[in-house]
Amino acid sequence: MDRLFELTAFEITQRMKNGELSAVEYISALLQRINDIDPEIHAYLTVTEDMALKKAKEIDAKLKRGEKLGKLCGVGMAVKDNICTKDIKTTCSSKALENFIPPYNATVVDFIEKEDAIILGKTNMDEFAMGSSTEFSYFGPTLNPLDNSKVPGGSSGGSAAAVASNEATVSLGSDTGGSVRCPASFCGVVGLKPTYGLVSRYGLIAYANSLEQISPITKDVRDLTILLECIIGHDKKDSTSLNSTKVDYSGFLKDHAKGLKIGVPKQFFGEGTDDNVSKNVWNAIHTMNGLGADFDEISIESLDYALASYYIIAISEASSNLARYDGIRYGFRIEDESQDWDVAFSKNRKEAFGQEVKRRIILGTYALSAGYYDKYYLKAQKVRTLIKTDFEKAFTQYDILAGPTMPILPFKLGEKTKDPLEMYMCDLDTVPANLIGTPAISIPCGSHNDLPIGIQFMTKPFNEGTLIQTSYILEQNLKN
Amino acid sequence: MKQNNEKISKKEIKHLSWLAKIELSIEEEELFSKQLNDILSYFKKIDEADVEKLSPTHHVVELINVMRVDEPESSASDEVLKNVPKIKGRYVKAPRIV
Repeated sequence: MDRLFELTAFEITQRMKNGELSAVEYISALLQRINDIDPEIHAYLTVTEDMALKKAKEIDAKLKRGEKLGKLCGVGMAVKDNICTKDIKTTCSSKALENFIPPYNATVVDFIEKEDAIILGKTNMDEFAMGSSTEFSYFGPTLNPLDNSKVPGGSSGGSAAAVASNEATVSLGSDTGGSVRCPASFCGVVGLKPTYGLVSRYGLIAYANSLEQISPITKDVRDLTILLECIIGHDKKDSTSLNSTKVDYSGFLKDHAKGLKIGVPKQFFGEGTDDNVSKNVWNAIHTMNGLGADFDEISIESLDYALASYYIIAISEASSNLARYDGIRYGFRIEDESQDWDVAFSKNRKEAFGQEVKRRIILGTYALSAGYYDKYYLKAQKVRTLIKTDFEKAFTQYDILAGPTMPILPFKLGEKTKDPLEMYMCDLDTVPANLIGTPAISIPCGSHNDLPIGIQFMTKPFNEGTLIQTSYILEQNLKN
Repeated sequence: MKQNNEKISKKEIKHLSWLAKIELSIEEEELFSKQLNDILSYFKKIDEADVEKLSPTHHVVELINVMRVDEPESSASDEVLKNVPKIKGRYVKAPRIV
């Protein structure tokens, strides 16, 4: 087969273990694919060709010696450029970190390498993961591989585009308010934000700590189970990572919907939801119903406050997190520092950050400043409690909550960059999962004018198995 | 606390840019004073929520003081220093403080 880059991770690992495929042959095919199409798509910021081929040779040698190999044996992966990779430039798509080479690996990178994955390179993103279209990258936007005039979604646009265009077999992104589910939906692939605390954030360059998780992107649900199992685990370097029991997620790949209870909050289909999106998502829900799942339309009133609450919390955390970029120990530093230190810092940060990052830091500074703290930050945290309680109630009655991942279809490049609020509105349906720490998945459920549409499933914390089962059933039945 | 209808003035944007240590261009001050007020009016949506009696959720995982044994591990100080933009020997150069 000459189109090796089209295979799934499951197929790759099977073939390699059976001695039917060499890692060098397959990785070379992926690298060739990147060479052929990435100049147009721009999913990657850095391609680690030499390192990838060297690793592939090592894996072939191990296979030859009959050594036991890991769960990601030889699988070619792309990693979002806000996840630290030792000796590989990690820029966060920012001028602030344009030449930053981490002296250490993020824990997830250690985990996937231990399972014999091969890193192909680092992917484009919105600067510091702030955006929903990958247009706010210092290095220029990524294009949607399915329609080059459209955005791939964001902020993990490069990671989703790489998988969708077969420039990587699987990838890692990060999801703070939908940054993996949004591009997964826009590029027609699978993206899951795990339960908060399931995956170590050590080495993930922080944007909003209480919301974000490193998250897998794959071509199908089976691959997702493989990658998810490899990245979960307690890490003493991240005190918020939890000691969870290992779960065999592949055990949930059952085509069995009977008894499954799905709640469909009407707020997920609010004003501004594209009719074609609604139609396809409802079709999927009716398909599940036809297979034996029950569904009810429900109402979660507090969802009306989710987006405002999310953005207040996210920008507040961001304004504090990004205070570290002073250019002294690493990162961009201006030449002329003849004035005082605070002027030097201010000029440095003026040059280092793009406009969206500045906007969020300034607004976050406002939300945390004296006189406004109670009104914005504290109130948003209380609203978070309200939303959390409402969802907990819903999860006592329903296994799954369903709705569109994105209220709209992939939009044109430049269409929403002028009005920040319009861009924020895209995240309406994805932010609740981050506010309350529950897992949520986006899987393709149809298309309109060849543009993909994603359905989002949410469930209670640590219940990824049910998400996987539900998604697998839908995936199998939409295929037929 | 100030009233609901307050707006961020250009003067306030200047002050915030000083607090956040980000110099803004005149165009950015102009642009932000409009955009940030639009965003703030949207944020005011949470004013409607009746949550006074609820306690805030700062974090979804309820953890208190996660401790571990304080054991020295190897460090990568030479590699860390490779990322320093202005360096003299093993000294990191900072901008003028006094």
